[in-house]
Amino acid sequence: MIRCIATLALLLPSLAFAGWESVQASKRVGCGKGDFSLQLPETWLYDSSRHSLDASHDGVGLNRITVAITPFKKTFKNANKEVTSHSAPDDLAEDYIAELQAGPNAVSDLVVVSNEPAQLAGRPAFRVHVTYRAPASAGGAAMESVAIGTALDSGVMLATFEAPSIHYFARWIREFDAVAGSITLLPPPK
Amino acid sequence: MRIETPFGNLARERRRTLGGLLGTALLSWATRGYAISEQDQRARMLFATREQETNLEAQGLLYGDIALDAYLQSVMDRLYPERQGEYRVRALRDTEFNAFAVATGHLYVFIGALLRLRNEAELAAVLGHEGGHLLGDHMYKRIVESKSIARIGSALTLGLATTLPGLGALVNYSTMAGFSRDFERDADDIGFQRLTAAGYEPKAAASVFDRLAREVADRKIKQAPYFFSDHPKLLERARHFQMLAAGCPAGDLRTGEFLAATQTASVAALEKIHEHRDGAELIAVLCDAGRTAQFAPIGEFLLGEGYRLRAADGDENRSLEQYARSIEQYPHFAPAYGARGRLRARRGEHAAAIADLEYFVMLAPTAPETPFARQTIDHLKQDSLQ
Repeated sequence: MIRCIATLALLLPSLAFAGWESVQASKRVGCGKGDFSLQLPETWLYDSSRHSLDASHDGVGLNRITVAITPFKKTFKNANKEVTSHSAPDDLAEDYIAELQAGPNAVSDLVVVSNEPAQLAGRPAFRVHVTYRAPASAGGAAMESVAIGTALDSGVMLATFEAPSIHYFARWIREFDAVAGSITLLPPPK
Repeated sequence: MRIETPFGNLARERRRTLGGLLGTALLSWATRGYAISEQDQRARMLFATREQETNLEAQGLLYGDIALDAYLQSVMDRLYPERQGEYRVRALRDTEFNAFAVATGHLYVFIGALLRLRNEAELAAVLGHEGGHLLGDHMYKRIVESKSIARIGSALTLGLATTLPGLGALVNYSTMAGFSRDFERDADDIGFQRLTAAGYEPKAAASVFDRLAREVADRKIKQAPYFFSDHPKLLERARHFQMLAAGCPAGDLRTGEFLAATQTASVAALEKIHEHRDGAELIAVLCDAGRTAQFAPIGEFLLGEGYRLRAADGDENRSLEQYARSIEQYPHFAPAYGARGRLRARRGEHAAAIADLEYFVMLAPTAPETPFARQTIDHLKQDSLQ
């Protein structure tokens, strides 16, 4: 019994990082069906095995970049907002903020720090910066997040960066902006 | 001796039973001195209430308009003249149709309630009811009846935490905690008696309940976190007030005084509902005839926003009609042009959208929405060129 527990204790942390890879210098990474590619900072780890691309430097609870293209029906389903490929960036921003406050994972104490036009993958986009409190089940920390989003023909592309307000957000936000600026809708070169 | 039976070891069962009895006896002995006196119970209730009221202030939930609070107080003093200096009323920064009193003699009226009330008589009906709970000592009686404030608290927190964030445990010590039908009837009767004695219009009480019942139904609110409990009871109590008012002479409405004192807070409540993106709530508070004009120039525009945000069948056309009405009545009110431009862009009416958005940018060059309007104009113009 003790052996079983010891083996599990050794295996579980490695399972948590299964699928995570180191970023290779100057190599663009892509995700899923190869809908997009981007350049991540060196020293980060990333996981492109699911429908989204996730990256982190110190662990996903401390800094996390997520880039995904989500089908229209699933993008803002908790807020019950309909999105199309023609949705304007300001409408998307409004729906994104509503989504943050809806459903079982709704955040509390949400404050919209800024909501402004931006570019993502060469398209008109929104850039929303918010602060909020993480759910009690996740520690209830003061968090900060930036999301850049745009509507494509296949769904909504969202690039988000999330980190605790203390230290981590300010430390890595410039890296996130560089990552978002590097996103193209072409698959990575083989 | 071990006796195995089909039900297990009898000796072990006996030991367990004896142990249980001994434990119960010990617990009774240990807690024999803990039946607290009425004085202690009241002191605990007041201490806990004051602590929660301090939290309320610290969180910035008070609306903090001295003139408005003074007006609310003047209505309360007219209803309960013998309690001047004891019952204190203040406005709370919350958009729901609500008000509550706490055992310290303090009453809190949500700015959302002020937005929905139409005259001073209706405000007096709400304050009269809450004052009735204070006069009837209902907070203390509820604690005595329920034996444990913790039991009240846990039940309430489930229902109210999501709808009234920030009020926290104060809800447990307030009239929002819910009372028995007898206490509510008692507060209704005291409130109505005070309303008429102060010379207010007796029909005002029924109007408040009718309007609240309609909103609960329109917004499909299942568990209303209101001082006036759930929907069927609301209608029942509206009928009760109608019967009481039937034989009474007419009284004061004091509509002008009420609107002058509450206008700023009501507009703040409307803007906050808009900020929350709650289309159904905007429609509920603005759809009655004459309501949008009362909040000119923002009223017509916000009703349009209500339809846009609710997004039910036909709402897009309704919102376009509202924006057009707003522009017709207030040609220099920029938000209506911006909102109509966005909607027209979504509908593919590019030329009309560009015209609206350019006019919006001209009228409001520094508005937070202006950068997005410029982005949409550029995008639509590029699309038109392609």
